[in-house]
Amino acid sequence: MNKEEILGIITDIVDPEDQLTENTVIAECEDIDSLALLNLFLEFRKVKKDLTITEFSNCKTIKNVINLLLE
Amino acid sequence: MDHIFNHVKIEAISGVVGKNPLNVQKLANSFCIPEKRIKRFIKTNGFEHLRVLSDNLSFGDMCVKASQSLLDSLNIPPSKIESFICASHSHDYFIPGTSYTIQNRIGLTKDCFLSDTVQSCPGFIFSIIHACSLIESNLCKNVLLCVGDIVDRRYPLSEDLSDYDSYLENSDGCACILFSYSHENNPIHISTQSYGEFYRSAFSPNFGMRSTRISVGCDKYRVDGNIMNSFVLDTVSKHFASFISNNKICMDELDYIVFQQTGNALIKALGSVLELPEEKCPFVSKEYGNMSSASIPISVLKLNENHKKTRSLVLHSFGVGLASAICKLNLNNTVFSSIIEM
Repeated sequence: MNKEEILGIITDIVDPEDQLTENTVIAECEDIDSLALLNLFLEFRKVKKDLTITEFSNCKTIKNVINLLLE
Repeated sequence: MDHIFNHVKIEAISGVVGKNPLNVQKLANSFCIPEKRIKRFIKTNGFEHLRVLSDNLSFGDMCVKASQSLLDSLNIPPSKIESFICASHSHDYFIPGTSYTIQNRIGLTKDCFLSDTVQSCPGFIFSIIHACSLIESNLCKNVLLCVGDIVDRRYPLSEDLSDYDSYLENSDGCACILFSYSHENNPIHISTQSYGEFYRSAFSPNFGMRSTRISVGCDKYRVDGNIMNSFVLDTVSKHFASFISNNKICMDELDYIVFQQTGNALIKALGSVLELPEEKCPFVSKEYGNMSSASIPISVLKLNENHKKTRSLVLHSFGVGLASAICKLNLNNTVFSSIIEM
């Protein structure tokens, strides 16, 4: 999975009003609420089986999420 | 705390839920929650209806109904009950405790030991400890326990919708359980963990005396979804794993693992983190909502109504506190009543 595909999955799940970019700050994005984050965590567990909620919660930006999944 | 109670059996479980189904979609529409958020909420949490108790009824009324149903199912006169516990965060009054206000309605004697505790989601498992302790310490031969809550719907959603998810997931319900002394060895494995440092993560500050003395800043019950999700998927999952390992529990011996019915996605995510088979961790509250401390016993009744085998179970409640409480028990000879609507 590459960067664009990850951003595509995030966009599909979040369904944002404004376009998400790598620089989007998760805590400042109204569309990314706790339910969206839970859905993202569930989805990304499918591709990264050892993903933990602590690692995921530490991501401040979309770029952090992408980097975490590409590790 | 970890403990094994060896000589307590669960004689019967009964349950009461609100009679009036509240359609989550319609409820959300009435508060102008954006359609996208509603769809996400229903898809993620899986709750389509909540249950609302009929007007002029309270937690105490549900306790009376559930107790009478249980005692009738066993043909036990109320005079035989030696101890009665009510656990809830929505007691009928500050003073006195709910157990006193309904003692005579149920027909409990003056010698019956009454006790009320303030408990939320993990209240069912915490109350099992109270009941088993009373029995194993020989204070009494049986304990009737009522757990449950009602939702305060007097207040509308906040304008910023910050409390919409907790508003759209909680329901009115109560369960009644009769515990008794067992001569046979009948182990109930139990473990609790409490995290008071997170008490503000699920917080209802205005319903106590502190708010009359000190400004508490906000008024309604609020849950911080992100902290709660992290708590469940990290702390709660580790607690579960250590419980299974410490008690040498084999998954094959279990009929079900019944988690607190906080929502379908959170149960799925917890199952995924713990690598549990999805079919072992059912979400059965689509039509019921999350009933706080009654959530797990009502789910067990629901599984029974659906003709599922619920003899060997791990029950895991978590939430307000924050707290996590797990038990493993066998319900081989337990009598299950039909869920009553009220």
